[in-house]
Amino acid sequence: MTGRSTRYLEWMLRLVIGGVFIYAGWAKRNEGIEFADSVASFRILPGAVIVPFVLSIVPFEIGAGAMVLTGWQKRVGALGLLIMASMYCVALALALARGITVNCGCFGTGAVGANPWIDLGRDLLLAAGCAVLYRITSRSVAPKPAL
Amino acid sequence: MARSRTFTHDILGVMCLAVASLLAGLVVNYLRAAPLPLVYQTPEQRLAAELTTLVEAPAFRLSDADTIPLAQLRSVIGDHQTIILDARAFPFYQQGHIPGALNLSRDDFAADYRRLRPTLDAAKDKSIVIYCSGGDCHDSRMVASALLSLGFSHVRVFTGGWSGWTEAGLPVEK
Repeated sequence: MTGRSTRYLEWMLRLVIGGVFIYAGWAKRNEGIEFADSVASFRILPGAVIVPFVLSIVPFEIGAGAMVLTGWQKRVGALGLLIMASMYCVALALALARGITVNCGCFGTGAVGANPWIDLGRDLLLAAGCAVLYRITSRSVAPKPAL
Repeated sequence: MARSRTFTHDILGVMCLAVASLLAGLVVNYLRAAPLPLVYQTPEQRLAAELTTLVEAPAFRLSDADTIPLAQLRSVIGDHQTIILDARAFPFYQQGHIPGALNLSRDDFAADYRRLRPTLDAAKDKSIVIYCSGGDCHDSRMVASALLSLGFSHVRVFTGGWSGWTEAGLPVEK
């Protein structure tokens, strides 16, 4: 890949991933209890952790999304979103494997009846995008090999 | 070596972001008009707590309410002998509901019940049908159980719910 095409790819990924996560965080901002119910339905986290987790997700997604979008600490933002998207994938895969009906709640809980397979596919794509973005942005700071 | 140092730096950055997000979330929650309790309560626990504000009732238990099929529900719409209740949250009710249905949401049960009390008390002998989103939706059964514990006896659940109603192409009200 040429330097220019890598730059275009990075810009495109930053716009899409940053935008998607900012939107996802914003969509959940007023859905505290509904999102907590969604998280609880996965039966992974203990009750004591659910509310602190739910409260931190919205600022985390908006903050990391803004980092990726603006370019300030974009590697940190990309890695944070990679961890988050991977976490969603694992949680959805576990729920599907155990035959639990869940409402992902990823973009707010309004999407009642959403298909968990579609949610999983979308989160896998996002995780892959974050991984590529983190790789590209990390490579740009790695020292060049000596000639 | 430099790459692993970069990765360690980034992981530390993510951890700082996570801590800052948690603190921001706690502050925003504290400033809310109705903050989320820090220990999660299941919908059943929340409904039980709401019920205790209405009556001195025994602990909330999920009861077996009768169900009603779609065809029968269609026939009772508008017969003035049946009250249809929508157990979904108000924003969903507002987007569309079964014609004539009243909103008695599971999450805001006590407030909605107080608002609807004159209508419900006047119709204690009438049949009540409750629905929610449909599928595995648990809310209609919980609201039905709450009404049974409040002394209503002719309570049935339409398990097809909103999705069953709309998928059948039946009229909706907004």
